[in-house]
Amino acid sequence: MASTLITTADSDSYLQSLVAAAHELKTPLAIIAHLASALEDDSLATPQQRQVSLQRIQLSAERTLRLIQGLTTSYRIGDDQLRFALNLQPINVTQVCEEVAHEILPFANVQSQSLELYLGQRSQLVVGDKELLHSILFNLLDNAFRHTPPETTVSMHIRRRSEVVRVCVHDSGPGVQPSDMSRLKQRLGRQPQPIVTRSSGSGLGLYIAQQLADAMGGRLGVGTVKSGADFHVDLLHSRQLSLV
Amino acid sequence: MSKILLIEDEPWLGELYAQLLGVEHDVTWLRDGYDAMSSIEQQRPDVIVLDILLPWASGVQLLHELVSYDDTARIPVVLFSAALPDVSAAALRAYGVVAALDKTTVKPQHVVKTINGVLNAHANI
Repeated sequence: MASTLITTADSDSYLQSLVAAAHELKTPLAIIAHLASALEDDSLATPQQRQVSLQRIQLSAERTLRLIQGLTTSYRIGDDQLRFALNLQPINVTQVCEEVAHEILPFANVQSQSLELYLGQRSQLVVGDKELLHSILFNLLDNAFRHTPPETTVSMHIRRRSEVVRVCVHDSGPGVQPSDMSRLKQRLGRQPQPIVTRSSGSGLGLYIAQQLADAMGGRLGVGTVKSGADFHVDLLHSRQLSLV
Repeated sequence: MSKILLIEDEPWLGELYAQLLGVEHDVTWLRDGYDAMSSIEQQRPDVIVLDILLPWASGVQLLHELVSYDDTARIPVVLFSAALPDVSAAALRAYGVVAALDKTTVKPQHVVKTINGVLNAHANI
């Protein structure tokens, strides 16, 4: 299988992706290693500290596995021979937002962060692949929570403009510096590279989200808000089921 | 009790090392390089534990600023990063770096031991 991967991908591009992915996976794996070592040598004094560390090890492992899964999916989508079968259909994006919000809560709770949903009164339907959309939204929320200080709030919004439904994720983190904004926009959609303007480990999840959005005919974007960053995905509104 | 400034953007690692080092020392933990210089000027830490990839100002930018002033240039720096700069030990020493710890391989006990060793060595200067 490894030889198939090498021969079907452009080797330079493939190696660059591999190196960047390996670099970005270091962070969640380092967290697991450090927390586990601290547990092993009894460095953590209280049962509560040990319980929190165990929970963080589990969540870091889950985050790592999700990144690997997303990377695998984005690679399969980009490879004609692997013929990733997109299941494009009308999806209730409001429902997917609620599902992902539920899944991300353990990551938020561990730092006393909260998530506010502004999904509108009517469910919005888009054309897409539900599994991919789920992964995109999880990556956007995960990125937001990673850059939002403890005890602050991330918000998720659905807005519809004409034939486009936009799902926005706002965080309260350091934001993206204006001088880096154009560079970040350029990088979305290229090889996965560390986006050092925010911190290590933020580029891979965004890269995966962008690849998956592209595959569904959507578009990932970045903007600024008053305090923090705004990452969003634009999806094509589906009329088909709006009568149902 | 020595004063340690820990600059680490990864919250779960930052909290872990603030706890581990806080058993013996007075630890200030910052999540980015934005407020680092003002904090250093106010607190005069005995050692700075510094990640390289940080929001706003990178660890390398901070090293440049530290060596620009006589008083802050004397503060020993321990680099703690998964992306250690690919430069010589001599170049790092010129920036006040006395130890470089690779996050991907080092163990917490060794991190604490190294920082205690740096504090002891500089306490005797």
